[in-house]
Amino acid sequence: MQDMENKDMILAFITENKQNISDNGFSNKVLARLPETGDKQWIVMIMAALGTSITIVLGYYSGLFNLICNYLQQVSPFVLLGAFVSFPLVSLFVVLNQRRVFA
Amino acid sequence: MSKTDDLRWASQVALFGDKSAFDKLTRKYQSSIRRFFLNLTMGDGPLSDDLAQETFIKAWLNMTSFKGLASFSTWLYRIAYNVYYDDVRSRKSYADIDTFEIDRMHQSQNEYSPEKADIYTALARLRKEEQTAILLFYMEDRTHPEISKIMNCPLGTVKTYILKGKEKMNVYLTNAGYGK
Repeated sequence: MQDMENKDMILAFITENKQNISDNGFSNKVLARLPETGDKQWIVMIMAALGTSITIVLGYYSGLFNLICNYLQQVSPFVLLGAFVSFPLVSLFVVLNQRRVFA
Repeated sequence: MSKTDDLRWASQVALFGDKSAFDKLTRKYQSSIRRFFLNLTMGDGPLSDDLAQETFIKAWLNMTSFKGLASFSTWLYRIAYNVYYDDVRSRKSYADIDTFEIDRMHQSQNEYSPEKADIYTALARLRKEEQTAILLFYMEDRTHPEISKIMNCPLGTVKTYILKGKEKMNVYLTNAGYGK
């Protein structure tokens, strides 16, 4: 019981003295002092190029491309045209939506 | 801004060296890290800001060592704790100087402290480890296991630090007329 009272007293005392420190340019100073660690975007580019190459090679040898071509020949040209037009719009919508979610 | 955001920003920093992601982490945690140092240094604003800057720069440089096993804030406090104790050790050569008196001088000089003098007086009665454990537990709302990770000591030792710190603070607060 005594311990509870002590805890409450200390908690109240510390909470009373708890302060939120405003940034006042601190984060900008830290950002300005950060040493360069090198741009690593090239890793993404290499991985993307590698992935695309593997997909093309495997697609070619597995006969997947022929299968797709055969399928596309059976589809109506109007459907293909619709897909061709709507694909960029859908992609744009997805990208914009993703940016809004992660903003 | 959740822990998921922390993980996403931390991985962006670790993988791509993304400064804007690190800026978000800095802005989120600057207040708590600077407050932690401000209380440990007995209200020395410039010193606590220097230590906080060093903490964030070390976090930037060592982000690849953050595995996400503990929360990002616990990892950041661990760096802050090491930065503080490195600073304390580097000042050991000045141990003969009356540090309590210097702390009091800083209290009257810096912008945050005049009305906060009581908490610094109370904390000055504790050992450094007790101060750290008490501040992390009560001021920064860390759990016992988190404090154990931050201070890199057994859970039982953390509980002892907090218990001893509480006893000493209780004596001070009772004498100072709190809780009446």
